[in-house]
Formats: sequence, C-alpha cells, structure tokens
Amino acid sequence: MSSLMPPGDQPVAPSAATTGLLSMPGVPRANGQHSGPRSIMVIDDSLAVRKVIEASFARIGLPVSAYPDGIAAIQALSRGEVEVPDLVLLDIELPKMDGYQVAGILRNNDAFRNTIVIMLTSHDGMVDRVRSRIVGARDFISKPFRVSHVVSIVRTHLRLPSPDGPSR
Amino acid sequence: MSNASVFSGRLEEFRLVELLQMMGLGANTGALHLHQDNGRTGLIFFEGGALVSANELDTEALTLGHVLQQLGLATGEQLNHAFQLQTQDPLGKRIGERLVDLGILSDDQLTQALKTQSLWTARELALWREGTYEFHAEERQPTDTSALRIDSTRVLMEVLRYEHEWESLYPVLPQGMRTRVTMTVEPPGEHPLLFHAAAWRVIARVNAHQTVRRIATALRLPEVDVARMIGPLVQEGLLVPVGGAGVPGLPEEAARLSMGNFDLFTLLISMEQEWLKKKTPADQLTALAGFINTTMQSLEQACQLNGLSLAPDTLSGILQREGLLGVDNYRFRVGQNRLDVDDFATHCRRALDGSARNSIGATKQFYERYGEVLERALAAAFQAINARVALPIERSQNQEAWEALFLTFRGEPSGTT
Repeated sequence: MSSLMPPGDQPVAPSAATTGLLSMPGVPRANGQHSGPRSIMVIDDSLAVRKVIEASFARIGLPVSAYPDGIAAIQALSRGEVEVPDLVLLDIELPKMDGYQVAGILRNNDAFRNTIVIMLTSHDGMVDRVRSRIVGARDFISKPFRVSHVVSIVRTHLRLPSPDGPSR
Repeated sequence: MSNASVFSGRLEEFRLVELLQMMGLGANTGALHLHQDNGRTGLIFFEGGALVSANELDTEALTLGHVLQQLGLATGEQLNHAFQLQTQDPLGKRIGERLVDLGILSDDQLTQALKTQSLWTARELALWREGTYEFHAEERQPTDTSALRIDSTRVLMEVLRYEHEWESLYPVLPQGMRTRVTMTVEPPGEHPLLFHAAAWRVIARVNAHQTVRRIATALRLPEVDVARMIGPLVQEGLLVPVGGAGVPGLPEEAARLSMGNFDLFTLLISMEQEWLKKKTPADQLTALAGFINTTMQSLEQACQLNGLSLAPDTLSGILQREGLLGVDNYRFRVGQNRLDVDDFATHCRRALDGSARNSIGATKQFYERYGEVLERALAAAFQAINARVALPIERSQNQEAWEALFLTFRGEPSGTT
C-alpha cells in the first residue's frame, strides 16, 4: 500500500468462514443519523480491557456492549441481541477471527455504514496502521493506552461535547 | 455489575420515609441510591434493616466535622490539625480515628457523632420530594459499620419529626440547611429591632456566603436549632434567603482525600500489557512484585496532585495488616513504599536453584506460593485505595476490573462479560 487510503477506496474480502453472518434478518436498524444516546461496542479478548472500557464509558453515560471475539459480537448483532453501535473499539489480535476480518465484515454490511471503527492493538507498526485504514478503521489506539485518551478519541469521533468545553 | 438492583422507582410515588419503613420490615441489607435530576445524590446503607450510614454527595453535605463542632465535641482548630495529619498519610487513619488518637474524642463519642451524621443526613434526604431511588441488595460499605447501626424505628421517628418541623421552615429556608441567607437592606419599619442574644449571635454571622449549616457550625450549635432561629428572622423580613449553596461532589476536604485522581484503569491496562511480555514464571514473579511498586508510584502521583503526601510506611502498613510481610522464611525488603524487587529476584533465583535440584513439582509449588502472596499484596494495595473512592458503583467497577486482570495473571480464559 502506498498511502493511508481513506475508507471506501479499497475492496475488502471478508473471510469465507464468516461471510453471511450478518445477512441474517436480526440486525437492528442502521443508525448514525439519530440524536439519541450513543452506544459503543468493544471487542477484545482481554476481560480487563473490556471491564475498563465498560466502566469508563458508563461513568460518562455511554452504554457499552462487550465481546471477547468477533464471532460472538457478530452473532449477537445478527440475533438482534444488541443494537448496531455507533462506534466499535476493535482489538486486532483476536482469537478465531482477527480484527481486520471483523472490520471487513462490518464494512461490507450496509447496516454498519455509519458505524465508526477504531482499532486497538499492542502492535504499533506502520503496517498495522495501514491495514487498519484499508479495512475502514477511522483511528488507531496503541496498547497500553491511557483511558482518558480513549475517552477523548471516542468523544471526538462521536462529536460529543468534552467535559471541559465544546467538542473539537 | 455484581450488585443486583432489587427495585427502583421515583420518590414522587414512594417517599424515603416509606422506603425506610420497608427496609426495616424486610430486614434488608444493601444500599439505597437516591438521585435528583440536578445531580444531587444520596446513599443510605442498611444492614439487617438497620441504618448504618447515610451520605449525600454534595459539596455542602453534612460532614463529621460539622457534627463534631455543632455538638461541641471538637473545635475547628482541632479538626484542621487532624486533617493536616491525614494529608500526610491519606491511606492511614481517618479523621475521627485521629481525633481519638489525639485524645480529643473517646471511642464512644466518635461512634455517637458518626451515628448522628448518618441520622441527620437521612432526615434531610427524606425531605426530597422528587428524584429516583434504586436499591442495590448486598452492597456494603468498605469499612466495618457494625457499631454504627441505628434501629429503623428510631430513624423513622426522627425522619417524621423532622418532616413535620420543616413544613413550616421550608417556605422560608427553601434549600434546607444549604440555604444561604443575607441581611435585608431595608428592615421593616414597624420592627422593634430588639433581639434575643442568641438571635443576635446568628445575625452577626450572616453573610451571603454562609449557609444555615455553616452558621450553626461556627456557633457550635445543632443546625436544626439554628434553623429554628433563622426561620423567624426570615419571616420577619430581617434576613433574606439568597438561594442554595453546593453542587454535586464531595465536600472540599473529602475531595482532597479521595482517590479521584488515581487512574486505576490506565494502571491496570499497562500492567496487563507488561504481563503479556513476561514468558517465564521467574519473570512473571518479579513483574508482580514490580506492579506493587508501580501502584505505589501512581498513588504517590495522585496524592501529589491533591497536595497530599503519602506516608513512607503506607505499603509496609498495608502488608502488615494483611499478614503479607513475607513468604515462608523470606521477608520482603520494603522501604519508602517500594518492595526491593532486586532482592526478591535474587531470593527467587537462589530458591529455584535449590528446588531445581529437587523436582519440577517443587518449582511449580514455589511459583504458585509466591505468586499467590504477591497477588494478595497487590490486591490489598488496590483495596486500600479503593476504600477511599466515594461512589459504591465506582468501587465495584474498580474491583471487577482488577479481578479481571488477575484472571490474566492466572492464565484463565476471559469469557464473556
């Protein structure tokens, strides 16, 4: 890849094993245009990361749904157990299906056209950043992260007012 | 969250006095959370139906310091001295315990003052006519509250008496004890301007920044007595209520001593990433010891942000309380809130050299034994810090997060949340 391409410029080929998971009828409405409360999903195999993200956003009034892998998350979405989130914090190094594959599946499904994907990873290489962009991720957060940094990035992407003033 | 919410509703439909009655009859244990739309929050803890603690999260909430001064048990100077001691040892004894150590209060007086604080707070919360309530069964205070039980009948009687009293006071003091009053510029012409000495003492302390509570504290009189004096002065047109003071949050001193600046979550994430790089049991053991030091370092930084200094024996105090000063024959070397990780690593190497000659089983046992003690030590440090977090929901979230990290330490699957 020669540059950080904007989302939408590169075709994505989701894993054959997972294609069709989201063609099931249960996926709730696509969102992104609503003005109601925003929701976040975190997909990370670390329970500590999930707990930290859940609690941190609960403290600012944002509900978080949390899953240890992409399959569990996609199944929950397919069954309509959880609404389409406004933003997904997605770990790259996931079991069963890596974060790129999960992002590819989301990106190829119309229900998620307004869902913002932010990658989480402990590998902070250029290749990871480029691959994240290619699969449509809007941002990239390296582990270990400062929780306040994650909250700030999410606030910016969701255009939520910062506690200290208007949103950037 | 692990604390199930048993029931919830609105105070417009079910008042606190009725909830208190229900708690007593049901012999409930747990925490009743009250919220108003303006952000005011109240928290009442029950054990077996008895009230054991009531707090309001408001910068003008009733504190132990207010109660001690209003009951004439301690002076402002004595409280300041105890507070200064606490700023040098924020995880050490609490204000009341320090006053006992200083010989200012007896244990009994401290217990009575704490119970009074709870009872007076509960009766004030019972005046709320709007907002929500939520009961969390089995949610408890992090400290032992067994000596602070107040029988539900006594609480009910006090709440009903207080409600009755405030029926006449509310129109003139609409923000209760948080009402600020000022002197009128134009006193009523027909007023004789003759005052009882007690009323004069109140008037002399009135200014736009003083609440009823603050005036009572300065006068060293119970606040309800002072409200009874101020009420008629407002009715006669000599004093004017100028709104309420206080915003959601902790009173100033409590906020300084709380661990609001301690970024536990960022610490946990960095520990997990560090742990995942450690591949051998020996590296993992020394990493655990290092995590205790990192925690203490973060705690020191959080204290500094609040203008506090951490007592140099805080870590050794925590380890001593938990009986974790060593493992088998080894004693941790602790100084200035740090474990000597090099000394510990050397000890591990020597011990393992010896056990390697014996068996693989002995080596495994060594790791498990030392790992368990270090985990308990780290958890004890977290517990000590978490006990100073004001909100039970945040304490519970913190605990869930560090327990999740400990699953990573043990290599257990993370499952679904």
